[in-house]
Amino acid sequence: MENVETKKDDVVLRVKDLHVNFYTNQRCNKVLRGVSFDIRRGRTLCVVGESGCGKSVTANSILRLLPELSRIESGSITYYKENGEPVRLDQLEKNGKQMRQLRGQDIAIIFQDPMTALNPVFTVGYQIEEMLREHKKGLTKAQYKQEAIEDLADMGIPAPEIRYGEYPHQFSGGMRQRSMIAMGMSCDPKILLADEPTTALDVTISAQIFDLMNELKEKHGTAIMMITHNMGVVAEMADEVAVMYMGNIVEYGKVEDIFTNPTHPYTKALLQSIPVLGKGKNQKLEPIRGSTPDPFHRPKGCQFCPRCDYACPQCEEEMPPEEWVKEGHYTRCFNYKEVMASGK
Amino acid sequence: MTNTKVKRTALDRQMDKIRDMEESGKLSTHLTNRTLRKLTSNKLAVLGVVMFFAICLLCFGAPLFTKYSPTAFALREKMQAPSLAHICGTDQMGRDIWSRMLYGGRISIVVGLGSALGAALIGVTLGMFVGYKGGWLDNLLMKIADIFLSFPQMVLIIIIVALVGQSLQNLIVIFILTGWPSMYRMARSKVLSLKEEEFVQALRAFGISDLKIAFKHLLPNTLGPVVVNITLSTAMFILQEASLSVLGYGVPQEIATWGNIINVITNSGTIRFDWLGYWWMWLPCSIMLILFVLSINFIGDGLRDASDPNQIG
Amino acid sequence: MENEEKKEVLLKVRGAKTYFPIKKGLMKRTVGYVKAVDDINLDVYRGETLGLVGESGCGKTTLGKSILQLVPVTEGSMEYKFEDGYKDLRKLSRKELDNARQKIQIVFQDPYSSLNPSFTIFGSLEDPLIKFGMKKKEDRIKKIGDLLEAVNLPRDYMARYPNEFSGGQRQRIGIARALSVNPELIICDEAVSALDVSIQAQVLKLLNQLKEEYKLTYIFITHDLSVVEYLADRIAVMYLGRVVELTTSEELFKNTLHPYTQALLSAIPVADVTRKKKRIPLQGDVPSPANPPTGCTFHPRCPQCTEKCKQERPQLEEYIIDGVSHYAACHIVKEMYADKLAKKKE
Repeated sequence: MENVETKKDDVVLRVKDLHVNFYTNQRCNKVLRGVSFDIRRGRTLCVVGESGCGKSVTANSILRLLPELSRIESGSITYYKENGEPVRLDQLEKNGKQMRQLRGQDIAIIFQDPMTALNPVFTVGYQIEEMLREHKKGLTKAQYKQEAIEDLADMGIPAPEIRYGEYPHQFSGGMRQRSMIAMGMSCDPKILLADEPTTALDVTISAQIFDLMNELKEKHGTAIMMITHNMGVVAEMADEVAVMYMGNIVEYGKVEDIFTNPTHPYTKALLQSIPVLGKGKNQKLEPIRGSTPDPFHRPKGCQFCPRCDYACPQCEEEMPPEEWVKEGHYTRCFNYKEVMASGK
Repeated sequence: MTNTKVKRTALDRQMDKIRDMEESGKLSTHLTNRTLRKLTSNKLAVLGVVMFFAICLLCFGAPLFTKYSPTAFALREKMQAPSLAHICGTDQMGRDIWSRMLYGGRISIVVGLGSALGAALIGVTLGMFVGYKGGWLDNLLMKIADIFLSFPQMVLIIIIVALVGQSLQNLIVIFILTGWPSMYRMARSKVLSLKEEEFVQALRAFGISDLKIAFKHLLPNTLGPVVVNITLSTAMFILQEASLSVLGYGVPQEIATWGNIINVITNSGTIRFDWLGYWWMWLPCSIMLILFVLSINFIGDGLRDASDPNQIG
Repeated sequence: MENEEKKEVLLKVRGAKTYFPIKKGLMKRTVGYVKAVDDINLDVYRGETLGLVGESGCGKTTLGKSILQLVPVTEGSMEYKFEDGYKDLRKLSRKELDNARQKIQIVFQDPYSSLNPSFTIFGSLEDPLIKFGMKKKEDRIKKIGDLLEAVNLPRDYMARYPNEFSGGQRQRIGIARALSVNPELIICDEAVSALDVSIQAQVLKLLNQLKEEYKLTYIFITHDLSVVEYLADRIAVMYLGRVVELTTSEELFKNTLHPYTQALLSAIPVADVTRKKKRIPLQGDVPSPANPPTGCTFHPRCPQCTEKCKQERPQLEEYIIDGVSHYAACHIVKEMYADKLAKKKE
């Protein structure tokens, strides 16, 4: 991704041509087929796609949290430490000392369902402290407790001293997610990975969580990578967007560009198939024709070709490479110029 | 750049193999039943099936494999070591042990399987219907099941045997009485988990009767764990029959069962039994018993793993 | 919009309450109630799509199930218009309820649990047909084939098992099942929420198409206002078991009256970068339906809360704004729009 080197100092994580395979059921499923993107300080990258496109796998690969029967085939994940040598995360031992040190302290992750992500038999305070004990050694018991309570307060949880001693089931959904974020932010990580953090929450609660995440971004300069399937969330939260389809990023660029002038047929079709609030009953809703292919019976060339309105013979033969439309915006389509020309 | 060497492990090599096969298109056996595939790839389960059928064949086709009768005794030939004429020797009454093992196996297997099926019939029927309906009947039945479960089985057996005497049928009845509660609880828990599924609500929204929902729609979904439980219960009952017979509370002594054969080891009688010297009188039968129970356990485990979609096959 | 007087009311819900008792202790004494549906008055007109919108705990799903009598309704009446007049669904005899079941059907949220995994599609779809009189198997095969084609699936899919289908396809089969008995009213309970966004569009279009073809009426339950804006004629916004606002979908977005609806609309992320909107932040969490606040149940979170709101529960009042009927349950709205209050007619 040479084109993006211009602001190199901002880049905290660089993923280049990542290939990941899953080996369950004695089959080989090529889940990620060459994924590249950057995560930058103080900016939010939204990875958007539908189920099965590989977005969660991407986040899990960064933290080496992939299941047993899977592996990173090729490609690189490079973490640029603030002071020190860049680290190749893909080459570290999966659960080795270095990787475990990075998890939580440098890179934190929050998951979709806060109820199942928190251990029901320990108090929330204890679970936050566990993170602190692992990464901030040498404090006294009282100091750990104090920090945990402060972390809870920072996340907007009222009466944190009382909440510290409570169990997850005594929290509401929104508060649990805040606790998860508190846990994640407790060691002041440089990167926060959020895997569909608000999908399980009500709309009004999600709004609170988004405000919170934006605040963190501004106050701490955290780099955020948010995974979602909701284009509305992308429009509100993202600085940069990576649109994924069947294991590839098909379009990557600034959020304004993606929405107002999509260059990939999938992005365009996706935007046309969702009802937008405020556009009323007469908006034209066009479903994407066909359905996502069986991962074991993929099309030969471009994965979107069978469903694409702009397909040409070349699309059937080979997967388009990354083409830079302009600085900071790439697409994987042979006919992107046509897509741009036909407008919305 | 902090680099560490990536180690190639055995798992890596396995994965490479799968990847290469997938790429050359050899793996599109998309249509075979996943359960069957998992089962056949489970070596222990296959071994279990083979052993099970082998032993069943030997026992139920006993006349093909032995010319002796299990009850014919010839006192002049008693306590003979294994020889060409008697491949497992003879027992203290001169009976051929191999033929007793085969004919006895019939009874042990029938007792085990019959009791397991009987317990399943009662337990599953009750569990499905009462579990689905819920309410006071369900509470009542749960309490009854708990009582049966906590009652020490030995006491029950001793009482019943004292009252009505020892017989094959009584033994099966006792096993069914002590076995139905766990089947009941298992079927009931599966029904409870399925009750709130949306397809059940859709059926209720159509006004389909409770009986039909419970037996036509929910039963097929509970059969998986039930079948597994039947296989495992069979093994358990065979072992119980054996130990009861060894203690003298099982099937009457004249009838050959695996338990009654192994019974010899309990020093019954006036002479102290030299179990090492006369090893053929109990060891071959014990081995056959162990092999049979193991085979059922392998099959049961295999079925359970195969029907569980979360197990990585 | 036609004059609503001319529209035929298909379902009349009055004072519906569904309370679930909370039992504690050895003797299972009732210590309280979860007031899932708390005094709902609603009319559903024939041929319309009525959206029921709200967040979790607002009671919309329970209301849908209450109409179908799948959960026991504690109080109130639900009158449905049969050929021979209006009858209260709660008071029907067993036989009459069966007849009602043919007229009112439901499509569920989860495409993965809405079909019996051990049966083929044919097996899952034939039971309702048998119950409602189709005795001959050939007739059922033909009918099920027709139904699958109506939802744009090939006929021979009826021999397959649910696990061979995707979520969107299973949802379409669920719709085919609901259609199988020729209903008049279909309750869609979050019917598209579990689907991928691009599949949602397919199912939404299908629902619209079927509505035209089969002259259906929908009650569409969802938490996604963007979907309901597209699909529904009228929208009812629910909060903690009560309807807080009810009007046509254009009017709701043009002129949002209730503070909760305003906050809800501002909180929804919109897939449009050109629109800058101001978010109305709501403090705190949705209260538990077992312990609703006094007065107006929304008052602890309402940015415009007054003393009266804390004490007195506002009733759902009808206002006529620009010729459109607009219901809202809010004291502040009542003061502002006192002149537009509709005359009480009964």
